[in-house]
This record gives sequence, structure tokens and C-alpha cells, in this order.
Amino acid sequence: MSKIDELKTSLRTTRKPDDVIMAILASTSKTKIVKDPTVFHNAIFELSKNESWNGYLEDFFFDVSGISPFSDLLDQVLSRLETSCVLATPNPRYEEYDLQKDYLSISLNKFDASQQDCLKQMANKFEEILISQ
Amino acid sequence: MVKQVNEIREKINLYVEAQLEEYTPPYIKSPKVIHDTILGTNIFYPHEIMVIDSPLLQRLRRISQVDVVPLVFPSGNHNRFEHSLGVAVIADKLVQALKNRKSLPEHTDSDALLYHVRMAGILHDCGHGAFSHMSEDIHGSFPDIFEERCNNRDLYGDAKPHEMLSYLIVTSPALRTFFRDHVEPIYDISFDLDLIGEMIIGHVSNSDKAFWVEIINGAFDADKLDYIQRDSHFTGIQMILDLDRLFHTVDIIEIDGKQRLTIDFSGVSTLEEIVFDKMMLVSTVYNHHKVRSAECLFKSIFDEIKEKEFSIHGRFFDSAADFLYITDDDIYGMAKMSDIGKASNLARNLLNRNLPKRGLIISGRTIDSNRQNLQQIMSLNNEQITLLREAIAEEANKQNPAITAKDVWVDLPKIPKFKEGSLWPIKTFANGNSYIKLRDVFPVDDWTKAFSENKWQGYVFTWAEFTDEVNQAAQSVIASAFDIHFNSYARSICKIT
Repeated sequence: MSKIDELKTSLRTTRKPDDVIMAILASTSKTKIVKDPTVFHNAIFELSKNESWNGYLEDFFFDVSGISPFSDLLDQVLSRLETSCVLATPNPRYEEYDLQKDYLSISLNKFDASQQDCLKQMANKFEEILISQ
Repeated sequence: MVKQVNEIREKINLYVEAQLEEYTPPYIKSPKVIHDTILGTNIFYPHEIMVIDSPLLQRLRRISQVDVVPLVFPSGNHNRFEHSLGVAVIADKLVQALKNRKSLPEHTDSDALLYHVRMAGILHDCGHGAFSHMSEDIHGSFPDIFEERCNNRDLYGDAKPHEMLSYLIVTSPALRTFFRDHVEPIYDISFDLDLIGEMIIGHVSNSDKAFWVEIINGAFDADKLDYIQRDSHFTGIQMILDLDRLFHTVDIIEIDGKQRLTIDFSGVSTLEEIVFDKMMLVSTVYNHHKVRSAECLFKSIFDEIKEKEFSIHGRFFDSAADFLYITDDDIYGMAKMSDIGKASNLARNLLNRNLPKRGLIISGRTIDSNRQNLQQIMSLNNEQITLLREAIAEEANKQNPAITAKDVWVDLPKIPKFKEGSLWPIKTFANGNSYIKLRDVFPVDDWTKAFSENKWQGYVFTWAEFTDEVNQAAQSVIASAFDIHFNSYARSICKIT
């Protein structure tokens, strides 16, 4: 197999932290969500505390010493999604993310049906937390 | 709770023992004056000199504060040692400011506070390896440090790898023995080394002492206040930072039962200066393309050492602890070693500033369509980056058989974090709240993040003689693997003739 084919296979099959976040966002019912790092980091931190879900989020380590939880890795994931406009942030207010659902949904292919069910539950809880804050 | 001692803890303890084995602590009767270009004339206490003079700290003289930045900004030759002393001085100033403003909580032992924050400042970077952050970019993903983090998630949070190593040094049995036998009995001062370690990694275990931690590792900590001024001054990139205003507005408030460092509303402009300074330093200095290229060379030296199982001073660099045994001079010294194969050539290239050139620039500005697919490139893991390098080399090899994967580098810098906007409490009594977040005043983190994301550039580097072939190969491979097509800017800015 050529190196480029190996790379393509790896891209198609390797599941990364970005995929988990993208899959959660793809599974939400929303097309726009509030753009506030405090709210976002706190919501994912809350999801990570649920034992049945933390296998999906174990790569995310949170600094909880400040006034709200913060994860360096989650910040990187969001930065990548913002830079590539998968999470579009219309100028100049930066108050909302426009979710590019078509692109986000690609990540769901890396999860089987039962995992997608689980991610849907996580997405529901994520929305609940976002609304409550 | 900290779990049982594991492999890396034993290795760190052995390292500290080795560093202190031949050190005879001097008995110093009176404080010493140390001059500093940035912070002027400062006093260091006798017990501090005893620690500063130890090999654990002296090695920081031989570690650049800004890794390979002097290759681009020639006057940026400041080191981790002077920065560590600077952090101690600024931590002292923050405590004095709190005392002057009568902001310290009742029952605070201000002498203990002062001694602890100064000592934490002195020790906070003792876990750095050669070329500072470049070492931790390599060892940060090693199994031993990852296991240490996973076993103690609550303790470390998302602390940086060098902070974890500093913590492990400070809390090692060997350093405890040193303090017990030398520092404390001679000068009759007690140190809580666990607390100093927690200050370094930013962990709050005692609510009353949250602000002690935040003076060293917090939103506007002494570390940041020193490095912004120092890096800006020595690289020649002018920055504004009104520290005096900060000292006039610093305060402490109770949030959720924790005594936290805060700032009056009138100090907000200084906080904004800090965020903007950091943003400019990242884009102008730390992420300069020549700096990134030199960092690629540095990583290749260790790839070579690992692949060929070479040892440097008896170390195989399969543990994060091994990086504590070397400093910048050891890397340059590799240029003259004859038994480490190509690693020596790579070190010589670094020494002589013979750096790889840009073969392709990857950014939102250099692609014509499918910007969303940038996300796939930006999120490549180490294995996938290696595959991309190999695929580009394989394609380039069709035009020039001399090109191998070791002549191609793919560099995807991290976008800086600006968590200050979310984590900075600003003291206010409006609306019955005791604080608001900086981003509630002005979303400074959103603006700086947008700037950084627009400035983000990934690179394909190669040697000057291969740039044409590698540019064509990289464009072809990325188009095939990611469906990303580049515009003419992607090549022209690389100055490929």
C-alpha cells in the first residue's frame, strides 16, 4: 500500500478527540449555539463526569482550579473547528457558533450504531446544560 | 489524592539526588543583591541563595527562555534562570501590593506567603529541558508522564508537562531532605513543599490559599507578567504592559469559598494589554516560520536518537525525566559528536542556522476551496503527520530520487489559548455580584482568538534544493488526501523560484 493510501485509511478510521466533539455537535438539535468558552468547557466537563460516557472524553483533562473548568485540548479542538469555519463565528459579535452540520456529521461514521446512540444522549445533555447556563 | 510512587517519580528522585550529591550548600549570612535588566536591583534572601546556587537552578542558565528564537531575533538570548528570578521578584511585588492595599485576608501569615511565592517563583521552571518548550513538545506524550497525569487527574488537571516535572522535583524525597537538612534548620524557616508544588501546577487544595497559587499560576500570574516583559524586551518587539496600574488594582475576593486573586474594574486595561501582548508575541516571535523550522530540526534530532537507539550522556530519552539531564549546550555539543550518526548533522545544521525552507504554506489564505477540510489537517496526530511526510516524500521522489521522508517536515502549530477572558474575575459590586469575567466586560479572548486563527499557518518544510519538487508533491498529496486545493499564494510566499 502506498503511503498516501495508508494516510487515507488512517484518516477514515482513526478516532480522535475532535471526532467526539464533532459527533456531539452533529447530534444536537441545534444549528446555532452560544459561543462562550466558559459555557462550552463547563458543559463538556459535566459530560466527562458521567461514568458511562467518560470513555469518550478521557483524553480531555480539565483545569478546575479557576472559576470555571478549562481544558487545553478542548480549546485546541474548538480552535481548529473555528479556523476551518466548521464552527463559523459571524463578525463582529462572536456571540454564536453556526454549526456546519454536514461536515460535523462526517465524524459520526467513525462510531457504530450503539456509540451513536450514546453520543445522541450526550448531545441531549449538552443542550440541557447550555440552556441552563 | 496522589497515588503510589511510580516509575517517573523514582526517576525524578534519582535525578534530584544526583544534582544535589556534590553540592555543598553555602552558608550565607545576609541577603544578596541581584541586578536585572528588566526588574532593576533586587534582594534575594540567604535561604533563597542556597537554592539558587544549587545545580537544579544553575542549569537553567543554559536553557534559553525562548528556545531557538535567537536564531531569528538575535538579541533574544535571555534564559530560564533570569526569568525564574524575575518571577520571584514580581510575585513579591504582588504580595507587597496586596499588603499595601490591605487586601490580604485576616489571619494570613504574610511572611510565610512571601517566602512561599518567592520560592515557588525560583523553582517553577526547574522541570524544563533543553530549549524549554521544545523538549516538552517531545516528552509530553511519553507514556511515563501520561501515566502520571492519568493516575492523578485531579491533581494535575491540564498542567503543562514541564510544570509536572517541576512539581515532581519540588515534592521529591531528595529535595524534601535537602530543605529539612539545610534550608530550614539554618534559616529557621518552614516550607510546605507540597504547597509550592501545587502553586507551580496551579492546583488549589486549600481554599484559603487559592490566591497563593494564583500568584504563581493563575490568570495574571507572576510568570506571565515576567515573560511578557522579558521576551518583548530581549527580542526587540515593543509591547506595552502597565504593571504599576496592575499593582494599584490587585485585590482578593471570596468566590465559592475560595480566596481568589482579582483586580478592580479600573485595572481591566492592563489585563487587556496582557492578552494582546501575548497574542502578538505568539504570532510575531514564537510562531515565526524560521523558529518553527528550527523546532522541526530539533525534533528530528530526537527522532534519530530514538530510531538508532543512541544514548547521550547515558540517556536514551525514552522517559520525560531524561530531558532534565541535558541543556541547550548539550544539543549544540551533539554537532561535534561522532557516534550519533545523522543526529550530529542535524545538530550542526541547528548550530549553524542552516534551516529547512518553506515548501508550502497551509492556511485559510492559501487554499481556494473546502476550507472546512483544514480541520482534518490541523487535527492530524503524530502518526498521521509521519504518514503525510512519507506520502509527500514518496510523491516528490518521482521527480527527484534524492528526497526522503527525513527531508520533509510537516509543522502544524497549536493556536494559543486565551483562557484569561473566561477565568479572570474582575471585582465589581454592580448588580449584586462580587465579580464578573473579563469577557463580560469586553470579549477580548474572542477577538484575540479570531486574530490568531486568521494568522494560523501550517508548513511543509524541506531543504532549499528540494522546495520546488516538495511544493508540487505536497499540493498533489494534500489535494488527494484532503480535497484541498491551493492558490498561487501558497507557493509564491515561500519564495520558490
